[in-house]
Amino acid sequence: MTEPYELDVRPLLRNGGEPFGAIMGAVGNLAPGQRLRLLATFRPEPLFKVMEAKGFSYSAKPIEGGDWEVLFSPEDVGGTSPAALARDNDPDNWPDPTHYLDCTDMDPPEPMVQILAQLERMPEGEVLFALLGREPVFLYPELQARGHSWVGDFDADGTAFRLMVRAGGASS
Amino acid sequence: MQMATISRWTLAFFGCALVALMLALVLLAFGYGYPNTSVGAPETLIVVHLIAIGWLSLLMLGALLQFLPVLVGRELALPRLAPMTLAAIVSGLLLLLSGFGGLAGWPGQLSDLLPWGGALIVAGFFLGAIILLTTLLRSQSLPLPAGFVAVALMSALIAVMLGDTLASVLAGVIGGDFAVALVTHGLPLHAAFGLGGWLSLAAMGVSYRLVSMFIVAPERKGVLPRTAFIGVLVALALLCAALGVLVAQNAPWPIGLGLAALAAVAAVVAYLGDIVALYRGRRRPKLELHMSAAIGAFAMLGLGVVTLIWSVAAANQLGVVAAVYLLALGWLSGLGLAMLYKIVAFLTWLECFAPLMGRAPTPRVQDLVREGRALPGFVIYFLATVLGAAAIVFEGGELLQMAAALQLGAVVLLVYQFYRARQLVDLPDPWRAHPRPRVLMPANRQRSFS
Repeated sequence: MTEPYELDVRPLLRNGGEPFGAIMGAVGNLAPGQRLRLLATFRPEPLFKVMEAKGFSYSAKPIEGGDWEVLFSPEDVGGTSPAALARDNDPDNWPDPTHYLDCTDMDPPEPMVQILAQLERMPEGEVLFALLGREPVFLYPELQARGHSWVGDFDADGTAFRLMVRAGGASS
Repeated sequence: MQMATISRWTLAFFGCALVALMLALVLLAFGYGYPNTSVGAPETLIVVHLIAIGWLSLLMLGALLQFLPVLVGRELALPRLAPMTLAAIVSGLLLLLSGFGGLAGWPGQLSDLLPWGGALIVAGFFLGAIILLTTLLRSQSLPLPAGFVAVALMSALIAVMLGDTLASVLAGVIGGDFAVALVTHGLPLHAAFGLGGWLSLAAMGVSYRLVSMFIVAPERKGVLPRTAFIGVLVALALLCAALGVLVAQNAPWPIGLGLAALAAVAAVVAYLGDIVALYRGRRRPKLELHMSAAIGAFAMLGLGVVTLIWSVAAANQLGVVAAVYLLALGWLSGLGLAMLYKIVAFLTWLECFAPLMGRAPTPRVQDLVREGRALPGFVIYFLATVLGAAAIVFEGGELLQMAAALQLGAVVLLVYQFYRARQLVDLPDPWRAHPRPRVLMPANRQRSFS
């Protein structure tokens, strides 16, 4: 395993600075599987939630001078730990969509059929982008039952609904 | 999490509603009530309440339980109250009808049941309104169709509370000048809140979304839908004021009612303009049967409103009755039957084939129905409704009975088609052996209710 990347935010904190941007920058530059060792002047509770959502587990220990050392370790991809699941459900961590569907001219339930058929053909982790004429509220229970995660919203003028679905593996 | 699931009790609501409609048409066909008795006679009230509460209100509540979550993109709140709503309204209706029977001379002290029946119906509507208004309150935004539904629910509550007060007057619980004033001037208000405020507004709200969904047309925005909504708000506010005047002074408020009618007419004109625009802007050139049948219902709304304006202007009492007949049995019932034709097939499809989507070939929703068999039902139904209205205006009692018998035949034909769709009988070969769902209840498919 590669050496953890070490980030010391104590000088920043002592000067009254806000370290969040620096930490997120460091996280973004981590190699796959690389851990992050963070040195701070306090136990950074709020950060734990953020990092968990990004799929990192943590272990924190106090060091001399009242400071803290936290080691963030990435969970295995495809793992079933809460951290891994949280990461899979966070669209910020999804790859770019590899499949596109325009369902705006289809009448219900054709969009559902097309989206689910496409998802069946996609390996776990790939992302589908679909454009719909309205929010597919009847689709969601089926996506959930099949272990896919999704995120969606209306475009600026409210005429099309944009849906991103990350293909899941635990389908039933 | 925003999702819509199959509402478990919707089909039970629909089943009870269709039974009430067929019962009412049987009574009309046998000449029970109007025109063999007066419009306000207890016999007529039995038929009217079978239609307004038993058929139309249960149909609308059942449809809203399923489609309000679709309108607002939120799960239905407090779904466990749905069966209680149905039980309270059905049992209340039975008591109310028995009470009217008592007034009509049935043996026993049945008229004492009137206020109790009214109270149960009020309780049922409150339970239903709690479910639906809570669902509305939990949604982050209130799209226009949902706004119509919210206002319609308030109007429903006023209509049933006013109705229960009227029932208490008829049962002799309330007396004095107030009772006289209420029976003389309160009935039109009760009907306006019920048929207009509650049923028509809910139908308008739901149809804005369903029409655009079913014929793939962009949702309506801008001046027309806003005019329709403001029109109904003004009309309802004036109706409430008129009710206030009646309660405070035991007197009617004709100017207010006239202004309310003007605002309502403006709203209906704007709404019908929107519907025409939706049909014109559709992306599916060929209409399925439920959407062409709905045109009949929209035409009945126009015809009913024109008839109402004409008969009020000409002070023609029979014309008013004919207009109410057109609005209740043509517009509301026609739209209900047309939408049921699609909704029953759609819900059945969703229940049976959603788990197979994308994994195995699934039939189209249209494969569950045979439009050629249902088409005569809709044609006969609408023609018979116009015939019935004409019979009322020209005092042809037997013609009205014949029209009702034709309507009954058409409804029985359509109900048989709904049943066939539900039983997957008309599906093409590869799916004919698919396990059949229960007729009035969806299966306990946990995945869709999670």
